Amino acid sequence: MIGKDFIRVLYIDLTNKKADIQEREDLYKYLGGAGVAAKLLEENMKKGVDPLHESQPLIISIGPLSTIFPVVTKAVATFVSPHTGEYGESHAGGRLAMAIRNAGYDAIVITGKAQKPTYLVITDKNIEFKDARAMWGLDIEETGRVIREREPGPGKRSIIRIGRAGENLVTYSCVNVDTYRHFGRLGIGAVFGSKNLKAMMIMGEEDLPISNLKEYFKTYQEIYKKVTQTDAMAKYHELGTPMNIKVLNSISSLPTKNLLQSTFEHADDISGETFAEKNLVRKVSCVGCPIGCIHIGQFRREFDKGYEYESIAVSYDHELIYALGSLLGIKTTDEVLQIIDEVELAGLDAISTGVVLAWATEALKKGLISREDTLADLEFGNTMEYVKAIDNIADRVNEFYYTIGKGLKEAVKKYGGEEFALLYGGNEMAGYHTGYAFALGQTVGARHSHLDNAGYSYDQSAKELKDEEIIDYVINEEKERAVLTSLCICLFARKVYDRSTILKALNAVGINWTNDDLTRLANDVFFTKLKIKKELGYSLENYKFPKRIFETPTMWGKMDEERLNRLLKMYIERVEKEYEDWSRGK
Amino acid sequence: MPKVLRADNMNKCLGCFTCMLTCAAVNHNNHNLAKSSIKVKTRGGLQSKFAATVCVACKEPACAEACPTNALVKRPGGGVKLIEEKCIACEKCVSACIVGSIHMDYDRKIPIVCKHCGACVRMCPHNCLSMEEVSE
Amino acid sequence: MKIGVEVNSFFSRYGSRIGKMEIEIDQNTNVEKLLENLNIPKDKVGFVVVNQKRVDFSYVLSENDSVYITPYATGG
Repeated sequence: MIGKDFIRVLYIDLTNKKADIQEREDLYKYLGGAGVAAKLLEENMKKGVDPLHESQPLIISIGPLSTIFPVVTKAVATFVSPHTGEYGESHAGGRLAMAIRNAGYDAIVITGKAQKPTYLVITDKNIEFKDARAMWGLDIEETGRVIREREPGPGKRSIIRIGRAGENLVTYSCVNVDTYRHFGRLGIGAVFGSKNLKAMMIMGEEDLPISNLKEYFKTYQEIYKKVTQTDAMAKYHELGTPMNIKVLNSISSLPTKNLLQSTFEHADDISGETFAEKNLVRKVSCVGCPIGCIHIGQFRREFDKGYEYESIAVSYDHELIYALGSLLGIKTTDEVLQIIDEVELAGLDAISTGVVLAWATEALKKGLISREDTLADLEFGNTMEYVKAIDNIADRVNEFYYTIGKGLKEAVKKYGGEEFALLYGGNEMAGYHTGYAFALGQTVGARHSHLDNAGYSYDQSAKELKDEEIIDYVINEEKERAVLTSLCICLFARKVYDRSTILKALNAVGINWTNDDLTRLANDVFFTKLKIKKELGYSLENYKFPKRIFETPTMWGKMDEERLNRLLKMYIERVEKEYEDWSRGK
Repeated sequence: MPKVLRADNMNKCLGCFTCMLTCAAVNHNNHNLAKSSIKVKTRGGLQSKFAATVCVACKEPACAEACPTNALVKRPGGGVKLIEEKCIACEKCVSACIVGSIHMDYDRKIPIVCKHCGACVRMCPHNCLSMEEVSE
Repeated sequence: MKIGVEVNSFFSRYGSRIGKMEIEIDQNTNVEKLLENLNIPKDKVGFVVVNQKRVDFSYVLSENDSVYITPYATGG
C-alpha cells in the first residue's frame, strides 16, 4: 500500500463466495509484482495436486510504484501451470494495475471454484460474485461488451476475461486484459476456466494521498523525460516490435515454417514496415505509459458475395507475426491479422497456438497424424485451414484436438514428432532463432519465456559466443529482471530504470531501500521461484532439446547439440550451488 | 491574455492517462486519477477512439449560475474558480454542467473543477491537448 | 561505383538517410566510411548485412553490393 509497510492482500474464496483482507507486513520485503506473487503462490499452492484442481490458487500482484511512475504498467499473475505442471507466471499491462491500485489492494489471491459461471466485481467499496452463465461460450469481445454495459465506471475500469479456450481448459488458453493485452502464456486461461471464473472487473476511487508532492513529481518528470526522449524506447512507438521481422530475417534468425528455415522469402511482405504501410490505424498505451507500443492493424474481410465487407482491428506484435505468420508460411499482412483475430476471440496464447499448428502441419505431411484427425488441410501458407484448426483447438472437437490442446509436450507423447516440436523447457518456442543464449535462456527461465533473461539479446550483441559469458549473462539478467518485475516495471523501460533510477523512485514515495536491498530482492525472488519449481516436481535432468533447432542455422550458423547440452549442464551446476548457499543463508 | 484548455486532437490519443495522473497529483495531491478534472475514456470499448471530457470554459458558466452560495465565480477567459470555504457540497454544479466536466470528490466534499492550469497539456506525450489564448 | 543500400527507418532520428537507395561510393570504401557518409551513428548499429551475410565495419564494399543497415532486434 502506498505509504504503508505492508502488502494489502485480498483473498477470494469462490466456493463459498467469501472474501478476506490481510495486511501482510512479512511480504513487504518482496516489494510487489513477481516477488509477492511468487511468495503467495508458494504458501497457497497444493503440491501433488492437479494444477486445475479447485484448491489451487490464482494470484495477481502489483507493486509500490504501479501507475504512479511512467511505464510501471504491469500486473503479475502466478499459478500452477496446467501447461507445464510447474511454476506459472505471466505479466499483463492494460488498465489492470491501475484498477487494482485504485481499488485499494496490492495483491489478490483467488481459490476455490464457483458453483456456476461467475464474474467478479472488485471495487474499493464492494466485492461481488455475479452470474455469468449467459456469458459462458461468448468470445473475448462480446464478454467485454456485456460487462462494459452492465457495470458502472467507464474509462477507469479493467475487464479481464477468458474465451472458449479457457472455458474448455486448453492448457495454453490466455486471459484477455482490456482488449489489447493479455496474460498470455502457460495456461492461466484454463485456471480461470477451471474455477468457473469467466471474467473480473476491477475499479476504484480509493483515496491515495501523496505524502511528498514536490519530490514525487520532480522524480516523475525526470523519469518521464528519460522515457520520452531516450531513443531506446522510441522504437517501441514507431514500428514497435514488428520491426524485428526484417532484422531477424536479415541475420537468418527468423523461425519460418516450423523452423525448417530461418529466413522467410516473404519476410518483406509481413514486415513491421509493411504492416505500418498497409494496416496500422492507431497506437494505444497501457495506463501510465507515454510511449504507446500497442499497434493496431486493421483489415477488411469479405464475409459474403455482393461486396459485403466487415472491418477488423487487432493488435499485432513481433511474436504474433512470427508464430501466426512466418512460422506458418503466411504471405500477407491481412492474412496474418486474420489468424491473430481468430486466436484472440477464442482466447488462446498466440505463440503456443502458432507453434502447435506448425508442428501439426509437418506431422500431417509426414503421416504421423491424418486428415481425419486434423479436419483441415494444414499446409504452410494456407490461412483459412489454420483458422479452422484454431477453432477446433478452442472447442477441442475430437481426440486429436483434445490432445494438442494440452500443448506439444503431450502431443508428441501420443503422436511422436518430438524432433520437430519446437519446445524449450516444456513451453513452445518464442520468435528468435539467434543462438545458444536464446535456446538456453528460454529453457532455464523460470517461466520458460524468452523475456525471463532475453538470451536473444546476448546472441545478437556478442562479438563471440563464450560459454562462461553465456551462463553469467543468463543468470544475472534473470536476477535483474526479478527486480524489475517485482516492481511491475514494463521490461521495455529496462534501460530507463537502472538501479539508481529505481532507488530514486522508491525513495520519492518513502521506500528508503538501498542498492544492496535490491540485490537481496533479486536473489530472493530468483531462488524462491526455483524452490517452487522443485517442489512442484520440476527438473532439467535428462532434458533433451528438439533436433530441429540444430538442423536450421542461427545467425551463428548451426548450433552444436553437444555444446548446448554442456551449457545446460554448466548452468544447472552453477545455479544449484548458488541455490544451496541461498537456502542455507535463510 | 487568459488561456483555456482545449482537447482538439483526441484522434491521436494513446489512452496513457498521463494527463489524468498529472491533474490528480498536481491539483489534488492524490495518486488516484479518479480525482482528475480531465477525464479520458473510449467512445465505446477499446476498439473505438478516445474522448476527453474537459471544461469547455463557458463564458456563461451554468455551474456558477446553479451554485446557491457563490462558491463558483467566473474566471477571465471562461470557466470558473472554486472558493472552497463557500462550498456546501450540494452537487447542483455537477448536474448543471452540460458536458459533464464536474464531478464530486467525496473525500474532501468539494466538486473537482478544472483550473485551466495547463499541467495536463505539458505532460501529454502525443500533443492531443493545448492551451488556447482567449479574450477576457 | 554503385551499391544498393537499405537503411532501417529507425535511424531517421539521427538525421541519417533512410530507406532503399542506390548510391555512388569510391573504390575501397569500407562499411565504417559508408556509415559516416549516411550519417548513421556507429554505436546505434546492430548489424550490417552485405549480400545476405553479416559483416563488420572494416569490410570493403564492392560494385553492386546489396547492403542492409539495421539496429538490433529487441524483445516483444
